[in-house]
Amino acid sequence: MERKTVTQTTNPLETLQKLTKVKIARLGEEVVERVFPVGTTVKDALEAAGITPRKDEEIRLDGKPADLNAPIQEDEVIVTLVPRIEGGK
Amino acid sequence: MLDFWRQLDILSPEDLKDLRVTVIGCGGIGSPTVLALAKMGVPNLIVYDDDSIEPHNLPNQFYRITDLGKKKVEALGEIVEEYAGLKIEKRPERFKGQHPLSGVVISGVDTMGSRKEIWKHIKYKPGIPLYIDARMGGEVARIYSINPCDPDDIEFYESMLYDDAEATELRCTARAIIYNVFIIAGLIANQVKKFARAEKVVREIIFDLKTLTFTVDKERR
Repeated sequence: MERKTVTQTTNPLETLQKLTKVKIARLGEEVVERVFPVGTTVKDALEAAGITPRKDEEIRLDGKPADLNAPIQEDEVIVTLVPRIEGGK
Repeated sequence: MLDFWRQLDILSPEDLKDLRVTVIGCGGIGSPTVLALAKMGVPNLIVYDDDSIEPHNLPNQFYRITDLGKKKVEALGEIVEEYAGLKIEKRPERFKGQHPLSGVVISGVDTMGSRKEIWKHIKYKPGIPLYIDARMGGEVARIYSINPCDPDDIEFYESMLYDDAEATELRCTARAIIYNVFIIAGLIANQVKKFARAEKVVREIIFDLKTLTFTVDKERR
């Protein structure tokens, strides 16, 4: 009897590009986690997460000030939307 | 006189003996910060604030019910003396550069306009080796610790000196809560300790207790 050969397949996306887990924290409001290809811009990641930055928010990428076109790199990525708070009392 | 036995290997009176710290603003950020610094052993504390204590200040500022109506610096002076045995220098006035600043300076004021005014009296002043500016809003805080004579620090800090018009408008009922100000005061005291021990201070600390997010600028001095 002829035996069928089983071959293991891999996710074609994984063979083409590395993926990285991204935590998006809108401070004071919510945190979401998504997986994106390495190199995705902050803007695209925010859009995909359904988050539109407000005028009173600054963006940090792993703690460093960043703009919307910054590419997301691999490993432990946190995009933070930081409100421009000013209180002291 | 406090006995600092429990902290001697972390921070000793010897580390702090010549330290002078000025705190501008004695509200939610300033009042617990002054108490933390006094209990930590900072021997010379100068405090500025022209405000008096109102009922809505009591839940998130370190004042007693019996302090209602008093000037904040007067009440804080009594509290610090009672809790830490230290007399502080009280200035019941708004800081506008009327006295030259020296030593470590901490800002806990309420508007970006006030921060910009203070910054004019801090920038390039060699007698001020460390300037700490803390800001809070709801459960979020931003703390800057910079050397006012370091060009990189100046550029970074000034990029964070946004205008009042650009600042987040928070509802009056969502501006401050006590656990946030205790954490801010602790982090400020920790930065002062690092400075006193010639350890690296962190230029920017941002935290949010709502989402339990904590970020620090990795460029340390």
